[in-house]
Amino acid sequence: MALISQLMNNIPSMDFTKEQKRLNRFINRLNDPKPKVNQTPRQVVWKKNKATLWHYPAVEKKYETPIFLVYSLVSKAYILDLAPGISVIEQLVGRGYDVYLLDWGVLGYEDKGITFEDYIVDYLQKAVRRALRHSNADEITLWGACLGGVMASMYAAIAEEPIKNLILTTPPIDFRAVIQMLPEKWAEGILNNEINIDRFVDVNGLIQPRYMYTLSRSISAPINLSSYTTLLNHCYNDKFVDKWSRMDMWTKDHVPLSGEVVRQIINDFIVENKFIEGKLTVRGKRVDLKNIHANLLVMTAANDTVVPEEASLPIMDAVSSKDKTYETFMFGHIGMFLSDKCPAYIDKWLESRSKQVQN
Amino acid sequence: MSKNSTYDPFDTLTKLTVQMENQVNDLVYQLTDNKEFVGLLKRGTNIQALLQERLNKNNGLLASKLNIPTKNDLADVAKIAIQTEEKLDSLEEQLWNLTDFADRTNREIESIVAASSEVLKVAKQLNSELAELKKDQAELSELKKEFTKLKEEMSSMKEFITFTISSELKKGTEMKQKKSKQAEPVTSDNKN
Repeated sequence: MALISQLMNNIPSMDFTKEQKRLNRFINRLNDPKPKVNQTPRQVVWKKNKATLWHYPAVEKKYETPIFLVYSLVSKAYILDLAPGISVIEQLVGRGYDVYLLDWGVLGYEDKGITFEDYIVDYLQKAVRRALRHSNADEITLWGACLGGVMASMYAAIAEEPIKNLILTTPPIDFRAVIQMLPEKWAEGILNNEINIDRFVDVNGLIQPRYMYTLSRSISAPINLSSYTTLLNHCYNDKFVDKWSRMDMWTKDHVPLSGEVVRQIINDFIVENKFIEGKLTVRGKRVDLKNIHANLLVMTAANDTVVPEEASLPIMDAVSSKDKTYETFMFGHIGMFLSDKCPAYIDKWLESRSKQVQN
Repeated sequence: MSKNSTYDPFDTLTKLTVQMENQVNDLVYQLTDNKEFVGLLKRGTNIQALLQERLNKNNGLLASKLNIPTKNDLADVAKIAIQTEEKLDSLEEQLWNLTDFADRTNREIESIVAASSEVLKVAKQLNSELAELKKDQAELSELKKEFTKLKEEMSSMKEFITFTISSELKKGTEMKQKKSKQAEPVTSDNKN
């Protein structure tokens, strides 16, 4: 009897109320409506084709120099304004900056022929001009995130507009370093042109989101179960569930990519490594990173499984900027856009490099 | 474990899943990291492209028979809309340039007007100074006339004074001579 009692004492008890809440929440999550994103107040400045230039006015304007955000082409930009409290944009406007975001939108079949050149000259450059005119500012801070960082650098190298500061977050400048993240033979297959995507692009035109999702899964983790067990584990925590739902929605919410852009990424950026070697041209202008003189801040993530540090580092020596800062954060690729540490660091860096509002 | 601690089976489940997931993913990479898989991928994309190509072709044939637009036809129409949008944008930019130019010109005109108003102001000032000068000149000429008159009067006065003095002197001389003539016979009588 004493033995049974001792045994019973050693068996851990379960908190049934907590377990009930957890299971209820997990089951209910399946019926939850889609979380609301993009909640920071904003207004449309310009629209072109599927792209929209948004303006997020500063809560209390402290700086004349606005921040212009260029996001990646492969996923939706609402990761920058995911929810109040974890929104990068919300934090920047709260710190006194006017923010402009160029949202590329969701491409249609008619956009299958859009190239990087078109994106940079017809969209990005024009949007920057519009932002400068709209803000009545003399200069601008350009912030490129992920592939948007590559586009921002390409543009900065040919820009006629006054770019005062250039901020790049996990930019895959050296694509050769990015494909080193893939299994060796896959990388070899791409580099040796064994996997030729030309015909695939010609026939499909637009690369559908399901392909992009499969590609991103195969690069990061082909099998993903831990995300769901983590949700189950923390299901009683409403705040966690809310953030998880938003992240889950975003990771599955890919956008179609123009076939020509995919062709350029594979052939020009990866196989021929034209960007870092300064062999790329945009409408006849050579994209030479040496033409970049703006103050430069490069931020990378130490636990990034998509863009390793080695892929971003080469830009530090490639530009002509005298004022250069490099900072690594202990996050993953997406964590960079969900923490308040990055906006706080950017604010600190920009404080002395932005024109202050004269009272 | 103590009696008070609660057992959370999902903690263990999560840890196990993460471990298993890592192992399975490593296994997937190991199994696919070879030439055969790359070849399979190549064949897969080629087959997909071939099938898609045929599907597109048949779709086009069917659409032409049914007289309905294909996706390419719709894309062409959409491209025209995009081109129109681009033209509007470019017109708007030209309008901006014109507005900027007009603003610059206006500013220049304003500065010229400001400068000319300064000139006008100076001219007015000069005019008023000239009028004052003319007034002064008139006063001066009046003064001059008065001076001339005075001078004339003074010269006539001088003549008068000269004449008076000379006549007085003459009178005096005559008187002297008369006196001396009256005195002379007395003296001769005495001598005689």
